[in-house]
Amino acid sequence: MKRETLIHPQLLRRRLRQKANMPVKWASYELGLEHAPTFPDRVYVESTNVCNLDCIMCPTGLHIDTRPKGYMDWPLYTSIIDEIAPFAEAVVLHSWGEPLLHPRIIDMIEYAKARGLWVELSTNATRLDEEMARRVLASGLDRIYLSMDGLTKETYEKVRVKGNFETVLGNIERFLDLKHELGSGIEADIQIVRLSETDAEVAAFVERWRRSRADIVNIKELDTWGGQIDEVSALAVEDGDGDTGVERAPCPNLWYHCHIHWDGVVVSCSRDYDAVTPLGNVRNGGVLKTWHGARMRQMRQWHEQGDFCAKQCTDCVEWAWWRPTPFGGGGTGGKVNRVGAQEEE
Amino acid sequence: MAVAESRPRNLTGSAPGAASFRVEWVGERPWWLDAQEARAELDGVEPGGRVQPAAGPVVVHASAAALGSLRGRRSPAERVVADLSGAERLSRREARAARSADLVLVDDERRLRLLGRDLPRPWALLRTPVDLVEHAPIGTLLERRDSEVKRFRRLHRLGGRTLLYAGPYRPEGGLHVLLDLAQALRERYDDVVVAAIPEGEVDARYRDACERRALALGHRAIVEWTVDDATRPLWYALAHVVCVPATAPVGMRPALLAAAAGVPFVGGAVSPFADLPRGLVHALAPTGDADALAAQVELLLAEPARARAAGDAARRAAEAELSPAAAARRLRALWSGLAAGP
Repeated sequence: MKRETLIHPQLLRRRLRQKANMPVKWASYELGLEHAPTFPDRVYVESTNVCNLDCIMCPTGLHIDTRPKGYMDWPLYTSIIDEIAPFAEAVVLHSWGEPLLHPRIIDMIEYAKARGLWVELSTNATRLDEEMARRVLASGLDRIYLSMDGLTKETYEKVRVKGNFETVLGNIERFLDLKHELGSGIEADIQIVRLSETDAEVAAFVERWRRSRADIVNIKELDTWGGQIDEVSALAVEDGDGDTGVERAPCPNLWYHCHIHWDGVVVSCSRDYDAVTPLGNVRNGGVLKTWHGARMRQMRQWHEQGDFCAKQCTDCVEWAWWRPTPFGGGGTGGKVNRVGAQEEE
Repeated sequence: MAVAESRPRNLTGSAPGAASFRVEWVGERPWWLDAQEARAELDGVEPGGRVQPAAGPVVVHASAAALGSLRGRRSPAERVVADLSGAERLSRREARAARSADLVLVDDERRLRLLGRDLPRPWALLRTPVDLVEHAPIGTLLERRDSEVKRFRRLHRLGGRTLLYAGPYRPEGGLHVLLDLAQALRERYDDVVVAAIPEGEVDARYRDACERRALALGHRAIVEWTVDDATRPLWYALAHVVCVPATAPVGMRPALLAAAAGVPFVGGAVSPFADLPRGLVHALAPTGDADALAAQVELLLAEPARARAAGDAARRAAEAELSPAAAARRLRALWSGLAAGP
């Protein structure tokens, strides 16, 4: 536990509550209880599903999602944060859009930080100019994922369609310099998704960014979004035959993570990018009411009964990316190999 | 509803061909009496007209909430109308006052149950008019609220053929029946969406059971927990069919609003739907007969021209039966008959 947690009774109480929640949640998952006095430890709040890039591995970029585009409104956001602040560990401000496009993203970070939450977001860095970089660094954001997806201009722009390699590279390098210069405590993770287009560059990418001022270099495995999109599945480096090597089990996300779309709709995980199986709406009574609501419970029951009929679950292999432990938190939503930067220096 | 002054208001007038009478309002005065078309129908009776000297009997029109205040102030010359429209409950004192009224007025026959076992004195039905400007067919709404309608449709993904349930979230409303029907229909019509909005009581456990059932339909099943006055007309107007497979008496308002929106209504053959004039309601299925209900709904889904014709007929019936002018005419006739004596 951090020192600041120990000296602030409110933070200490929350930390103890979170710790106590872990074994209860683990037990309810292992026992397949659809309803237990637990709460999500990681809450994904989609600030927006609008994006300025057309990435080849993303349903948003491929324009195959049919749900409406929008930005989370401020009253909804604050009501979510106010409710989850006493129990959640982390709030993640990205899902299916570029969070820095949200006109109040800095306010959103500051609001959550003021309530003691760990806050992180992932950005394509196209909008991370100097002014935005300074505002992000001053906001208190805990972790930022800087998505680069390519060592060379050719690869980057092939994967991140509409992105400009030089601009993004410049934005990221300036951001890292400013972080160093200002002594910011933010954790800056440079990220590359390993797919057929980038695979040959991954090693060189790690080598290049380890020597930068980034804290971590992430090599993220391709998410096939439950095998729902052939174009994306075709980008897999290894032959995706759908075999996870382990027996199918209920998806832990249903017991650990809460994904809230910009319009308040709750979904099972990021594979339900199009909200084809909405599990409720936090506007109807709040996050916990939805978390323990009828649709959420029904979904858990389906999984417990071995019924993976929801569209995003049928061919999913990503459910096996992490397994809950009695005293550990949930995964981070992706399968990531994290390499500490400058670790050999 | 506009709230009337707390002191009784005197309205003076005379109905054509009837004796002069004076109307005193006690309690709430219905909003629709202020609609221009209603005022025209009540010309000479409504305030603002030429004030007549009090002559002939007095008609006291009391809303349910104000019935208690009538006690002890009646004179033999007064005729009392106890207006129970919109009332959900009555105190014993109010019920007693209603039972002693010369006429009990209800917007829905179910309200008579509020009076307990005693049969009420003569009663009359006066359906609360619908605001036919607010509740209008989709074409009309698009002219006035274009961007709002489009945004609403996108937000709720109502692009497909929408079956709207509008009724209580209670077993007798039959939302579960409609969800099952939608599930079956999806095999033939993959764009079918079922949306539910609460009109009346909500049983949270029943709603939860419906939510569970709805999960199998994914985003093509919408169960709204609340609905506000601003969006209610949009739900109706964007529906393909409004369907309330009720098995016991429920509120009639969904059928009226569907008609106003120019959308065909299919319901269970129970009161009050069964009592509504032909045209307002497209079809009623025998209670509990899911196959008959499915056949009626499918007919409308399969034949858009038939659905359009039924919707147009419903709107015409609504304009004839549910406008403030029609209600004002009926109310004036009721007052007049009462004033003329037995």
